[in-house]
Order: sequence, then C-alpha cells, then structure tokens
Amino acid sequence: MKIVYCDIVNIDGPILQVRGVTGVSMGEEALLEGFGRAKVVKIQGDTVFMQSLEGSMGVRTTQRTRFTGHPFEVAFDAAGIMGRVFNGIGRPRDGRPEIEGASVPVEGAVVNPARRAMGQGYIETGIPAIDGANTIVRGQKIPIYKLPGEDINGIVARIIRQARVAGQGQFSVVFGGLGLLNDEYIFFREVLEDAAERTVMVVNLGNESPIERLNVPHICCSFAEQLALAGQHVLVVMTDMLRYADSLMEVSNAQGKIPSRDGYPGDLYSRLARIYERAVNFGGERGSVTIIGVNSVPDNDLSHIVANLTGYITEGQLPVERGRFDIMKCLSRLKGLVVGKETRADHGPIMDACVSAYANALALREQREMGFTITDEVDLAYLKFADEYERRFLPAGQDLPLDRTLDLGWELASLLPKRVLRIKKEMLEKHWKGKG
Amino acid sequence: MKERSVKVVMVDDNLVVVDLKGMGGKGVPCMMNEEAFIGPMNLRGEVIRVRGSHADLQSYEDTTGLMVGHDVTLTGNLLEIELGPGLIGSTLDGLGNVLAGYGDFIARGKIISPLDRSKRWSFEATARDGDEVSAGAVIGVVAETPLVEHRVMVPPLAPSGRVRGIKSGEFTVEDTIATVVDADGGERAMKMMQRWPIRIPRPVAARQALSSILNTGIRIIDGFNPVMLGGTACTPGDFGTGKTMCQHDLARHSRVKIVVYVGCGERAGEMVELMTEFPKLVDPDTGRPLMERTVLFVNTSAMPVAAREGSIMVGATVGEYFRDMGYDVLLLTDSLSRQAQGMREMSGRLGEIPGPQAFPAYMSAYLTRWFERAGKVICLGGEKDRRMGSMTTVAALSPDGGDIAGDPPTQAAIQTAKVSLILSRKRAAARLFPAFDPLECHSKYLDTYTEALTRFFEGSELPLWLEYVQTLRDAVVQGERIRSQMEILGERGIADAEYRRLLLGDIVQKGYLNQNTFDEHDRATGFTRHYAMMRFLVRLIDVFPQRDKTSMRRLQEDLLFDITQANYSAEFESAYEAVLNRAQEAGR
Repeated sequence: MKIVYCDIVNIDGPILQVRGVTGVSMGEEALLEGFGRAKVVKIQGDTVFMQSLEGSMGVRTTQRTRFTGHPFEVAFDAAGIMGRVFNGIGRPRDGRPEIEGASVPVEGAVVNPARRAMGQGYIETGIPAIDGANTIVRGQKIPIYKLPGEDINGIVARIIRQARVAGQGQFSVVFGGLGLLNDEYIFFREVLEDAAERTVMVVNLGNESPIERLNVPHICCSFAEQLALAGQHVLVVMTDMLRYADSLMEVSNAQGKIPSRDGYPGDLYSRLARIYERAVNFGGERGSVTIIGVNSVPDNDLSHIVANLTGYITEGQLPVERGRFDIMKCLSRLKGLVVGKETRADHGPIMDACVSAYANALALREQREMGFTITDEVDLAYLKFADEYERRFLPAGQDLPLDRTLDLGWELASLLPKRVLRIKKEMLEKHWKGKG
Repeated sequence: MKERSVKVVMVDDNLVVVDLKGMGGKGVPCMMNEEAFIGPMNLRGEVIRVRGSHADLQSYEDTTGLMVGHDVTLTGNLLEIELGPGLIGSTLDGLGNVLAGYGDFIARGKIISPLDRSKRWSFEATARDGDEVSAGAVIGVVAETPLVEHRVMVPPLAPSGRVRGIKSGEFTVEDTIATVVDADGGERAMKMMQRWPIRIPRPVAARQALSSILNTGIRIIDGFNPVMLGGTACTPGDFGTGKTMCQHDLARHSRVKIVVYVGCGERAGEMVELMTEFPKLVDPDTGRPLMERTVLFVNTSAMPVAAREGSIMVGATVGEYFRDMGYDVLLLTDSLSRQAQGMREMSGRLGEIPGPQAFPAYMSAYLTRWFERAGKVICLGGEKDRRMGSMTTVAALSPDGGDIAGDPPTQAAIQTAKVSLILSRKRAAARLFPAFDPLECHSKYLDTYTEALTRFFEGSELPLWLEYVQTLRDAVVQGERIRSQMEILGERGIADAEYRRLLLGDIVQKGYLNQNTFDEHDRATGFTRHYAMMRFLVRLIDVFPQRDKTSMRRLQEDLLFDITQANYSAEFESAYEAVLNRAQEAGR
C-alpha cells in the first residue's frame, strides 16, 4: 500500500485533487485517513482526481491520503452474507461482525456474451400481470416504473417475499436500497427478517453519501454474480434507480463534464448498462442473475431520459400506476423463451388476446367518454371484459400460481365472442368457455 | 512508419493522452487514427487528436489500472481488420476478436483473430500462371462453408502483374499461394488473408444504379416500402416497438448471400439469442444452418464505449469485402443511436463544442458517410469477368425519449437512408406486429426508381405488383382517414359506404400488413405468395358487399378470422378463394 502525505490542491464538490503523486492507477481505491474512501477517476501528470465517497464536507487540504493499489473490492462469503445488511462500501450496517471471505471487485469485468446462455426458467412472483402477461425469465433485467409520489414498497416487498423459481437450484434475493428514507429502511428490514435465510441487503440511506449510492447496484450485482457462479439463481431488486442517475449527474457535473440531455451526463446510458447488463444466465450447472430495478418516472412520462434509456437497456418494463400494472405499457421481451415452452401451450395466445382485447376496449371507453353511445353487442362485451380484467387480473396485490392465472385469462376472454380472439381454432375449442 | 514508444501523461476514463516529445527532446512522429497499444495490459487504442507535443488516444478497453508513465506503442498502422476465410460463422467483438476465445469474462488486451493461423484451407486456383491480374481480381476459391465460396482476391491496392507459381492445395491463410510480378519486375506474395483499414471504404471499379429489390419476407417492407438491393434503410423506434425483432427477422429471411449483423451497444441477451438460434435455423433453399452465411459482431452496451464506434466500421468493411467477391450482402446494425451516443461521450471528454443535444457537429456527416458505404457495384478486378456485388444497409435507431422528430441521430439517418421504416409505439402496445406505421413509413425508391421497379417486377412475372400495392395502400390510407373522422363524428356520423372502407382498410392492415413472426408460414412471405395475397385482397376489396354497418362489421370479423387462419397455413390459395366466396355470398 502506498502512503502519501500530500496536500489536496482542489476540492470541487466530491472531487478532490492531489498533486505530486506517481504510481497511482485508474479506478484505484484511496483511503482519506480519518475521513473515508475515494476512487481515482482521472490522472493528469502528477495530479490525481479522486471521487470521495463521503462527499467533501470536513476534508482538510492537509488530508493524508493512502492509495491501496487495487480497485474497489468487497468481501464475499456465500453463506455469511445471507440475512445481513451492508452499506455502500460493502461494510456491515447491522452491527454484526465483518464478513470474512475472498475479496471480489465491485464493478467486475464484462461477461463474455459468447459464454452466456439463453434465458431459461422463469421467476414466479405470484402476480398475474407479471407471471401471466409479462413473465420474467431467469437472467432477465426489467425495471418497474412508478410515479415519484407513488409508494410501491408494498409491491416490492411482495416480490421479495413471494418470488420463487420453478425446478432445481437454490434461490436467493439481493435487495439494493438507493437513498432509502428511514421509514422505508425500517420497513424493508422487516421484510428481510421474514426471508433472512435467502435474502441480503445493501443499503444507502437518503441522508448518506450520494457517491456511495453509485456503488450499491454494483455491490448487489457482485454478490449476485458470485452466488450465480456457484450455482444459485439470484434475483436482484433495487430501488430507486432514479436516485442512482441523480447521483451520477451530481458527480459528473462536479467533474466539469458536458451534460447531454436534461442535465444528465452523456454516459448515463453506458453507466446504467454496466449495471443492468450484469443480469446473466451462465447456463449449465451454474446459476443466473435476474435484475428488477424500481425507477421513479417524473410525471409518469416514459420518455423521461432515465426511464427511456433504461428501457433501451433492459428487457422490458413494468409500469405501475395506482397500485396496478399499466398493462398496455408493460412488456417482457424474454417471455417468449419460456411461454408455451416451459409453461402451458395456451399461455402466449390467451395472454396476448386479453391485452389486445383490452386495447380495443380502451378505445371504446374513450369514445364513450366523448359522449357516443356504445350499442353494438360485441363492443359492449369488450367494455365488460375491460372492467373485469382491471378488477381481477391487473391488481398487484395477489399471489396466484401460474396455472390459475392462465385459467383466469380464459375466464375473462370467455366474455368475448371467440371469433374476435384471433387464436387458433383447436385451442379455442379446448379452453374457451363462453356462450355461442 | 515503424513502431514507436511513448508515455502516458493523462488518463480520463477511456481518453488517454501521451507525450510525443520523447527521449532527448526529439519529437516522436505520430499519425492520425494510428493504432496503439496502451500500457502493460496492452489495451487497444487509436489516435484521435494531436495537439502540439501531445496526442489524444481513445482506448477501446477499460483503462482501470492504467498509470501515468506507462508505455504506449504506436504501431504505424491505421486501425485495420484481417479479412480472409474464417470470418463466416464467427461471432466477433466490436474490433473483430473472436469471443469464443475468451473465458466467462472479457479479458483485456487480448487479440484473438477470426483467421485461425493453423487451419489449413483447401485452396483451388482459378487463375493460371502467366495470367495478367489487377487489384481485386479473383485468383482462386475456398469452400469456406457449404453456403459460401470464398473468393480469394488480389488486394485492392496491389499493382497489376502476371501470376507466377500459383498452386491448388491445402494452405493456411498466411501461406503464399501465388506471386504477382508487376511490369517492373516487382514481386508480391499473394496470401488468402489481407488487411484493410476499417474507416476507409474499399475501392470498386464503378458504382451502379440500383435495379432490383431485396426480398425480406416482411410484407410491409417488400410491398409498401421496398428496399432495393444495394440500398439503405433505417428503422427508428422507441423501445419495445420491435426494432431488434425486425433486425433479427431480416437476418433470418432476407434472400441475400451474406448477412453481416452488428449488435452495437445493445443488450447481450439479444445477441446470445442470435448466437444460439442461427446455428439451428436453416436456409430454406439449401437446408444449411444460417450461421454458414452470417458474421456476427457483438459489442454490447456494457463494453467500453469507444469500441461501439469502431464496430459499425468493422461491420461495413467485412460487408464490403464479401461484396467485392461479387455477392449480395446485407449489413444490419442495431443500433446506430448507440454509435452516435458513443461518439457524444467521447466528444464530451475531448471538450469539443457540442452541437444539438450535445452530439458533436460532425455526427450527421459521419453517419452519411457510413450509409454511403452501401451500394451496388462493379467489383474491382471484375472488369473482365464482370462481377457485380451489392451491400444493402438496414440500421435501427433508438431515439432518446422515443422522440423521432427531436433526436439528432434519427433525423440524420432519416435524411440519408432512402427508406424510413418508422415503428409505432401505439401499434406495438396493441400487439400489432410488425409495428411499422404504414402512414409514416416511406420508401424513396418508389418515387425515384419507378421505372427500374416496373422492369424488375415485369421481369419477375409479377406485372401488377405496383398496381396492387397502390390499391392496398389507398385502402389503408382511406381507412385511417375515416377512422379519424369517426373519432370526431361517432359511428353514426359517417355513411355506410365510408364505414365499409374503414373495415376494408382494417382487413388490409390486420390481414396483410400484420405478420406473425412466430408462425412458420406467416413469418416470411416470398414474392409469389405475397403476390397471390395482394391479388386476393384487391379482389376482396372489390366484392366486399355494401350493407348496414352491423352486418358489414360481423362479416369483416368473420373474414378476418379466416384470413388470419389462411395466413398461418401452407394451403392459402383455396382458403382465400373460400373467403372471396363467402364475401360474395353475403352480398347476394
């Protein structure tokens, strides 16, 4: 470890510059003695630019800095981390002892696409709008979009508690809290206690360093990656990714980088991708990492830059509004890998037919709202279908096995004449229960 | 220029600055876009700016661990790629390294050429000793895969001369298979491999006007918005509208000799899908795996951003190489927006003055130059045996915020590409695929190549193709116009005759433009079936009876059901006849 006694020549937000240092490498971890940690983000001649994880309030210009000679690492132990809570630098925040185990890099290298396997198997959440219409495949990455004012922690907790994988393999959940408020933290700790044997938390609180926040997703993914390499199927659930993007903007601006859209840095896409792309299915005897990122969307505008870039990176999206999945905007890109292959043959056709019918019904509703009277019998059937679909299928607060979800779909579709369903005849004859 | 060594003086993410003053105060010469190897990790990089005694390099790999004072080797070459037998069927990263050569994670500083140096190929000479050959001439062939005969060519910049000592046999790509002796007695050894700088278009004998259309199997493209062989198209769309799905379908079903697919800054999972599926999918003509005609470039979003920019150039270079053999090549890119964003990131780091939305001012011109690498050509060295080749480009774009009008890379692409295939979020949400918006899409070829297209369809015995297209397009346009009227006036506010047109427009949309990519019969439509389908719909528009609104709607629902079932089956002709009969019946 290199010890330097050097003066800090510039303090600019969380970015500290020290001069007169040699032999320091990009990405290296530095210890600001008696203060905290920092990461080397730029080196220019003998000037080193560090990003302090603890911000800069209280940093002295005479600060002594030690460079560790290695990039950021966290200690990992597969059994030891379960039921534990860590902070944004991977240290325990639950008052229990440090983890003793091998160090793993926080950011990690990029998984070789040629060594990835196709998504296989699915994560069952018990929520019909997800399992039925937007099945999440192991190794998938998918965001839940919500209004900033909306509290969906209940849904997140439900997913953490109810999530399961069909078939073999150990399953665990890594929860990442980014800028959690205190009451949220207390709430999620209770959730953790319910599933302590298979859940680990990495939490950065709202009143803690936003820079540390940038580490939380990577620590979660590093834990998950290690568990997956050892054969486990891991679900990473993180909230709230908007706070990640905001922290990134803060740091980027402090470094004097030119902002690109809405004040966010030009590398926002790449940064988010570095996280979400850690979702992986290793295949064979090894496990998988599935990522669900909860992301606030200001004004519910999915073209907001963070939601939009996330949408391009992830494999689908699950917008929630007033406790209900907005099914018209929901999408799971990978569901085709398992739907009808690992699940019932009627899975895909019936779920698509329901969504398609719902889209039709929404257009009719719009007409009705404009004052037109709807009289056609098929149109009326569509409207009836939509009401029932919203009442029984879309709410998040449920725990149904997949088969029951599919049956529910047929039950609802049977409100409609079968000729409008655009499903192959044989399948209609088998499942459709309507009249005529 | 020979190799030179310089030292790192600054590192900022993937921007690396080196000192050119060198030892003893004598300046080290340096070339713009020169390839470099950085630090003890041997990271691949490229000179992108020179300022006085400093040169700025972009590193194509993550610079973690790099220090000021580390050595950098300037190679004296432009950034090049190796070309030769072995490319087909391989999956390469953005700079042309074979991904299968790495472990679970991508190791840095490791170059793995797709051209296996130890593999012996069976080379069959087609030129003979004493033949006069010029740059680009084919001197022999190698059966690279059962689908592709690899034509070994004299490199583009080689001087003309006479062949000496050419022999057939088993050779590696580095073995000398012939010598070309020029007029001055200069000798040049011919090998099966050659190198070419990725940013320079490969030379051709002449560029040609386009004359035929690409059969993609996607009806809304082949029918309403044809892409010509050697032409350019872009598919902008918000996420979830099916951009990537469309690129995959094009790669699968397009009737071309070679497909080069560049996954640029997109999801790894999608590329895994291609890598897993292509070896299983078979070419309908030959029954061989599609991978035997495909080269995949995989540069995922998590990989360093600089390699994104390189990947589309590498893809174009490989595409041109096969074009030069006299083949029709389809270059697919997903997505150009990621490339432009990569450029934006780098430009910001260089401190350049930003253009709209912080994209560099040269972004648009850059994309135009890249699109212009497509075309139909008389191949270099093909003046005697008249080899024609083409490279068609279809590039996806992912506009920020889904805002097609306000996204600079999307606008740049729409202005340059001759066909704009615009994907609609509304259609995708309603599960109407492919989600191209028929009113927004446009093929400039229909306006400017009308004569060529007419000749093409007449020559293909599809004489009424363009007429049919016009009738069906009119039906869709009218239907949509009436739909907007109905939104204001209500169903009762429009006449029965207009309601009929609305229903017919929907038949064309749902029964023709929509296509089910998961159905074996519906996913790709060849010209003959496509023609039969259009003829059927044109007749249906004619015979569909004029009745009251409710009966017309019931009839339309029934017919649409039958049409969809017919589209899903091999026996479509008789099913279409039945539909026509049913419509006529209903009219009596």
